[in-house]
Amino acid sequence: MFFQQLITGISVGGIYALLATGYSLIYSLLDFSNWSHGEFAMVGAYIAIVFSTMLPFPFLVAAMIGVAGGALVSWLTEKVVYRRIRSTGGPNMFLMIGAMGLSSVFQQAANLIFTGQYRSYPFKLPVSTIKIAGAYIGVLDLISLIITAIILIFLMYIINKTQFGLNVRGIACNQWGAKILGVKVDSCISKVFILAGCLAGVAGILYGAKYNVWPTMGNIGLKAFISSVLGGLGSVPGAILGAVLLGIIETLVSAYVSSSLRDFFSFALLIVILLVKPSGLLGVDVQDKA
Amino acid sequence: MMTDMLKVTDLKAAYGGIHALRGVSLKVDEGEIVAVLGANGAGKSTLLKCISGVMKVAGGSIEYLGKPIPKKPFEIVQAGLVQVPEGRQIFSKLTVEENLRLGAGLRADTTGMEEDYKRCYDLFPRLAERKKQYGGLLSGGEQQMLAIARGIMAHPKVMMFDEPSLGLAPVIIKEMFDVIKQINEEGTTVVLIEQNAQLALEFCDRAYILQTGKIVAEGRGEDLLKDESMIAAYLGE
Ligand SMILES: Nc1ncnc2c1ncn2[C@@H]1O[C@H](COP(=O)(O)OP(=O)(O)OP(=O)(O)O)[C@@H](O)[C@H]1O
Ligand SMILES: [Mg+2]
Repeated sequence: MFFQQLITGISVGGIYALLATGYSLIYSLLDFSNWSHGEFAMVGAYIAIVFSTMLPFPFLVAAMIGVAGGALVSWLTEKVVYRRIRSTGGPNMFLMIGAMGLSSVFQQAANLIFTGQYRSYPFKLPVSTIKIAGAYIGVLDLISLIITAIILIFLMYIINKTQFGLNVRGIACNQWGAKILGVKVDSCISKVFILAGCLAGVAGILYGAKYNVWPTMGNIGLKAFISSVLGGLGSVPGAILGAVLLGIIETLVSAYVSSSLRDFFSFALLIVILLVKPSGLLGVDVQDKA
Repeated sequence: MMTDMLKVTDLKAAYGGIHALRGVSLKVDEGEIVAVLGANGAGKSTLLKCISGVMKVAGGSIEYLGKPIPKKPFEIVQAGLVQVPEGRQIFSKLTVEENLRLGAGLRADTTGMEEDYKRCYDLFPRLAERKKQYGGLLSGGEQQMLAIARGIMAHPKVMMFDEPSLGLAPVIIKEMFDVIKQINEEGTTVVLIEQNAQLALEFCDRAYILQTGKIVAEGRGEDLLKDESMIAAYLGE
């Protein structure tokens, strides 16, 4: 039973991690909390619904279109909204307010187009289980876990081993210095929004496959936020660790305490972290000397 | 006719209503060390920002190798003009090695890059010992070395140093200037921004003196050095 809950927890945590890493990357580059990040997941999830249930596409193709849609919308928010707000030189608070506005706009639009009705993908995976080591593990959880793990390993590779990743970390650390050295700052930022949008799209579809798709499902973005703070705001490995821990804690609370107390525990945890260790579990603390 | 490496003509720049450059003209020949001196707020860093393409020019022109300089900062670095900026601008959360790799980010010549890594570590053995250390944990002098090495990694034709001696002990300053000399002798043209007039004038081939956004004197370093009244008037020493 515990083993089963643990797998479910890690699997849910993986979905949070897909969101938390993108959220964290954007935070590290632009120093603002992108409250609309969860909406890219919702957009990806709905696009996959449209293509797999209203149009005659195989689910996998629909899912890929959904991911691309999440990326496109994420990129557009940067291009059309955030970049313009930045170019006015106003405080970062404007970016955050812009993000809140966008979040509402996306949710309302989804409500108008699709109504509040819960929708699901055309397969029965959520109910099937397989027996591993005496426990019944959800097939969907397992698939979700594997997909997430592959994507996150790939992401870590990009961030830690490629020139693009190095440029992103450089911008996060000192945007002005990076610009002077010839790093293409705006193009890197755009690519990070695309990457984050893809990750969110995958998260939305996996989440939708597990719990259905509805207009305000993007609120799981809040879980990404908690995960990032838990692991260390702006750190990608921190976001992953925080997300997996949060997924496990939530699942265990639901199973052994009460599922109605799940979010209570999550937000209480957020506040405790903010009070006790605001730099998070993996937050690096290297001060600039200059 | 030989074209100038770098030619700035009647350059103007402003921060909102503050005119930081009010028509600056200067030129730099290939292989020279040219110093630009001036007191605090004279506009020295602003001049470099304009050349690096990170600040909007309000008037005048900048030519590089006989043509208008490219517009975007990365094109300028790619063309061979690199700045070692004021305040070093180290990436504090990246390692020494990563800082250098970031400096080489626009290059594709792998073998040349390997040679330049080696060259950097030969020039600054202290960096070689600290490859895996975070930039932010280096001492001030080591950070300045890293900033210079990072500039070298871009393989520039012209290297522009913005007050490399700032806040450093005399021994380290000497070490830094020796390296700049060596970089110059190996074929890189040098533009050196300094407040320390004595030091810079002894070191450079030619110098310009900037005061509140205008060039007020120019000449060979050794000639300017003899003109004590001028140094006193413009540089306040
Ligand atoms: N970001 C900025 N916003 C507004 N004004 C600025 C800005 N940067 C510089 N200035 C102003 O422009 C003028 C020139 O500044 P600049 O930084 O070029 O001087 P500097 O010669 O490099 O001085 P220092 O030796 O102190 O570095 C100064 O009057 C300064 O106050
Ligand atoms: Mg300056």
